[in-house]
Amino acid sequence: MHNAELRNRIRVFRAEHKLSQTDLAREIGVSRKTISTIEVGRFVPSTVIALRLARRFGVPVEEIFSLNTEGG
Amino acid sequence: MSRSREMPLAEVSDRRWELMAVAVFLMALKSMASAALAVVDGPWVRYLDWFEAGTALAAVGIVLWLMFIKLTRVPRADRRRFLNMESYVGDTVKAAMFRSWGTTFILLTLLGTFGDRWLTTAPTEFFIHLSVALMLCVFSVSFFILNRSVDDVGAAGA
Repeated sequence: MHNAELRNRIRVFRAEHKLSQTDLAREIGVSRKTISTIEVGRFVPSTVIALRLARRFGVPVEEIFSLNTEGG
Repeated sequence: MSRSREMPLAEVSDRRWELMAVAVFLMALKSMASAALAVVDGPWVRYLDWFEAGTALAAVGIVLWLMFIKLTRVPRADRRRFLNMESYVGDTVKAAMFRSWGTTFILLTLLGTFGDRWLTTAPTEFFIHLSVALMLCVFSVSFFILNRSVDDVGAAGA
């Protein structure tokens, strides 16, 4: 489940939008645990969840998720 | 307003998996008691009988409760989505199942290869219950461990 290659900036975007994990989870239709595990890189989300996150924050998916090229 | 209406469907789905793991753990305990009953004699039999019946009833009760949630608290239109909801907990179930399958496969291979040399006195019933108990126990304990560690992470980031 864990993927060290995938980095994300969900926590940063959440802070910018003043959203808790619970609020974000409700808005995109997943559980709070799913959000927290995506944030810490423990769970790699599907394309659908990644696109829902991007739509919620109004940015392209690449701004939220990126490959950790140093680790790869 | 009912609790399920307040709780988002994704959270209900996670709780459902967690309750299912509890039911599986109870079934593991029930199978352990059944295995013990196959080899134990004397006053312990009575206590093991009670323990076996109690764990079986509790597990069935949880499963019935899960069916009740699915059939009555989830809107008909959302039922398919509810059963296939993507989540970390859902992935944890798959990981726990994989570990459980692997452990059972190794145990059965060892028993099939060396069982007749090492364990000749116990009845077949004992090994069947023991294998089922191990399979269910590895599944539920793996699930609890993977899920618990995430709760710590989530609490810090919430």
